[in-house]
Amino acid sequence: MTRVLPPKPKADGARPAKPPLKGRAAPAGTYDPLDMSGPRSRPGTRGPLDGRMVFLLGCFAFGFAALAFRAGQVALFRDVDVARTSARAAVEQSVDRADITDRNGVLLATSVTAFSLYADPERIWDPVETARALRTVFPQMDEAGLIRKLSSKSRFEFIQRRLTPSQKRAVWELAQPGLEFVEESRRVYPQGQLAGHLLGLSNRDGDPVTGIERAMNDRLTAAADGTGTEPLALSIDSRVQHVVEAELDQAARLHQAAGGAAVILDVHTGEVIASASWPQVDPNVPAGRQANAAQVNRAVNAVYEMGSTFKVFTVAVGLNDGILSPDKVYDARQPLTIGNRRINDFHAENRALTVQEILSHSSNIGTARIAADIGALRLEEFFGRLGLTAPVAGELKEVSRPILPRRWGRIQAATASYGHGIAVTPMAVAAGYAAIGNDGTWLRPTFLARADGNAAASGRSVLSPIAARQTVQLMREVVAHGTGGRADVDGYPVAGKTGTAEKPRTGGGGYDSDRRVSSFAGIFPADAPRYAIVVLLDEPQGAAETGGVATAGVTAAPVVSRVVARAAPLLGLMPRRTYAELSAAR
Amino acid sequence: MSVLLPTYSEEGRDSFRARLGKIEWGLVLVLALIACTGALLLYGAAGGSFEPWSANHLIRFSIFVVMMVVVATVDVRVWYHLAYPAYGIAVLLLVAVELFGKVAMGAQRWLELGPIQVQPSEFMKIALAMALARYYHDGEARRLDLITPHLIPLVMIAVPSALIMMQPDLGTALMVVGVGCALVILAGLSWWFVAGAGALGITGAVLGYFFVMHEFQKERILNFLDPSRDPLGTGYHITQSKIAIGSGGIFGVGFMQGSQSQLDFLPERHTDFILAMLLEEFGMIGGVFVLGLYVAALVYGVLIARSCRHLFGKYLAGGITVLLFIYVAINAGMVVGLLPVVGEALPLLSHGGSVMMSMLFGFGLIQNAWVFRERTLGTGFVTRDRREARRG
Repeated sequence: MTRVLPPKPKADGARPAKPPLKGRAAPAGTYDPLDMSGPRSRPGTRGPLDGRMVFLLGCFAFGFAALAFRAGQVALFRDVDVARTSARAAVEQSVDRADITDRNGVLLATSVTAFSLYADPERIWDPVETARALRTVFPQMDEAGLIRKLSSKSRFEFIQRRLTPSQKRAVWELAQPGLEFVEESRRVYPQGQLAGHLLGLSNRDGDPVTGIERAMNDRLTAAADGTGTEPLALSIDSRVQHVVEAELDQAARLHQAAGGAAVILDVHTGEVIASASWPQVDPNVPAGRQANAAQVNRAVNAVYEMGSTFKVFTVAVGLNDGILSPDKVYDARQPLTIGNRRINDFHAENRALTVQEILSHSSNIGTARIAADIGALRLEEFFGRLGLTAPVAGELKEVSRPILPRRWGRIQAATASYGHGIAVTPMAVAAGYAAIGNDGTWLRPTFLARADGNAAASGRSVLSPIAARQTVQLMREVVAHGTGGRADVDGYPVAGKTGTAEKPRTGGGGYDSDRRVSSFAGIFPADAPRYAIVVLLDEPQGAAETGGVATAGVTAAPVVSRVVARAAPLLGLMPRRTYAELSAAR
Repeated sequence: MSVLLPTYSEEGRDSFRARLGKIEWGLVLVLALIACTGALLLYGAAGGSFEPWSANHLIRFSIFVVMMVVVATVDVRVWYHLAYPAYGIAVLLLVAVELFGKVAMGAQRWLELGPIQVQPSEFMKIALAMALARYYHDGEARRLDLITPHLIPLVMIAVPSALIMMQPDLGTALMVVGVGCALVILAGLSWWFVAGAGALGITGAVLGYFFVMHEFQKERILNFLDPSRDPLGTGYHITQSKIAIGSGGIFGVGFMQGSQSQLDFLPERHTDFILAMLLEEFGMIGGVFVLGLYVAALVYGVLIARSCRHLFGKYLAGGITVLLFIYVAINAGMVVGLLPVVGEALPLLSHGGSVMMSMLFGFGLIQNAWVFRERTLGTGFVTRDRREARRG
């Protein structure tokens, strides 16, 4: 530092003293670095230095070019850290999904914020150590699989989606590098399994793959744009839904069924009051972790040969067309042979039967004869108008097409008249019964709550009101005095028809008498129809309680009875006079 | 001060008014545009409010611009003579930070001197440029293409860098090293040495990385160099920053419309990550505009360095320009994910008083080199020629 101030006077020493910069007298003989006369003061120093300056500019240019390139890459090409940004996008999509409620505002689905754990393998120090640490929080995880994930080449590997708060805290406290959290919206179904199939399952990304969640995805996510966060109100009544699911579950377990379905429709509006499928699913669990057999919504996405429940449709169209009256007699003494097909009765009476008796005793022979009178063309046309030949699914996307006769000849019409050779969904049958209960006006079923009054607009008249009411009375007799007796409820008269159909042999060719579909379709209350109900059990086995028998009269009908007994008060129906009183009054 | 500052001859002195006129006001305009853009962004970052950042930013800028003008018009010899003392004081302050800095609220970078908080590392960036500029000015007659005259500057760089590294503040230490090395190269260190040192450094690092260090040591080093490896901390910053830039695209999503910026996804958006907010809301267009302003400031710096007739001004202007470049490069590189997150602000755009003050002080020195560009500043060395002349 001392060299800064060489205290030597200038050679000439002739300069006058200057006022010092900081107000104090300058020491004598200061050195003046601004000495233009000095021999070493060069006039400007261009030359080599300017080359260095150019180098400097080059460095700047290179630096800015690199920055601009990278910024452009990040801004314009999303494949920089694709996984992260796309994961982010997926998360943002799921945010603010509208709630789903039942018709009374009970919350069925809502969204809460959750954190998902992902790993950035590039930042993992030691995959083995991190995997072992993770297993202390998630003991069910496979260590080898974790290590593989943690040492992968990607920058983004999901470890666990949608952690609970305590899991998140535990992972945090592992203090392992390379583990990061991303906020995600988690769909929660507070009612658990209730209406699980209807609400829909999601994949592991949380995207809906079935049910209302998928079908109404646009409506539910539109809310995220601020176009309205109104909850979506479904037509179902969660109390009735619960009753239906509980009773279906009990019966299906009792009879060790392979599956089951149950539907309740409001006959005047087409609203689905309950829609159940067994085995049940929990929509809180991703589809991939549910049993395959349980994922099918059997109410709309499975077709069955419904058997005798179709006889009601055949009789109804006969009554409508004036071919029948309830008292008309048909010969059921001998099995009927049409072409090469021989038609037998399960409960053979071997006598002449009235139309009422044909239904009450479920005579295939009698129904086939009625069908012959109606004619194949008319029967096909009527089934079409009744919505049995096209998919009926309400709003849902997953729906099965009915299996129909390839051509409607005499044989096909005869078998279809009692529900064989034609396979439809339980929902389609329920809609057909609802039309009978609605004075002959068919309504497309809907899963969305309807504002009162606009239901009739979409209706389609398929039967005269008189024919429809006569049909209800016939069905009422089936329950009061026929095969459907176990469906009846004290105070809430049920009208309906049982159906026990043998399933086609899996190898093809003929039917398997050990594998049945037992169902009951009906309407209640019979005196002033409000609701249509279908209960179906797939391959029920005889239980000790039913004397080893597995026909619809002892499997599906009792379910209807218990469901109506519990659901009717919830639906605001006043109890009628007792069954005996009602019969006496008639 | 008179111990440090000799008296000066009046010869060739301009009036204050004349010096004011010589200031390059175009450069001042560029700086003001950057600061105003910063104020606009800070207004948006606060959700459309001048509080708490924007107004403060503008007020500080106004004050420091006055300071810049004062620095620019003070006689260049004052700065020449203050160069070594300033460097010495800065080193002492760094030592003081090391010894006493921890007492001040656990923040090692700051030193509390009564009511004033001093960040010596910020001071050192300027002081080192001044000291090296003076050293090479004085050493004008030496064979600067040899290695020997550069040994002292290398020590002058190494001492403060080591002290800053111990704070620890890797980013600032790298900036000090960068400015220092740029000056050494500017001064004329032989390209052979530059290339040789570069090759030796890279080879050594690569060999050491692959053959000497253990796996965990590599990880530790990578982690040290790149704090974003900390998954729960700064890694989040860079992710959010990239998302913000990606959503901005070419034209941006619009002022105060950026979801990343407005919804608090983007951390430090008023300081270190203000560029990410700019790129989200104004897109590449906005980014090109602001970086263009910085490029303009850098070009001014280089041109001034070129046209200054005395070496002290040349080196000083060059050094400060390099400093600005390093600031911009580190910050922008961090925001676009090219460099690790080291937490350096973008001068004049980011909210932050220390950086703005040191940068405008530095630009005052650049302006000074311009105002006094025609001066021929003698060397402090008593060269053999001079001695002979004196004898003669």
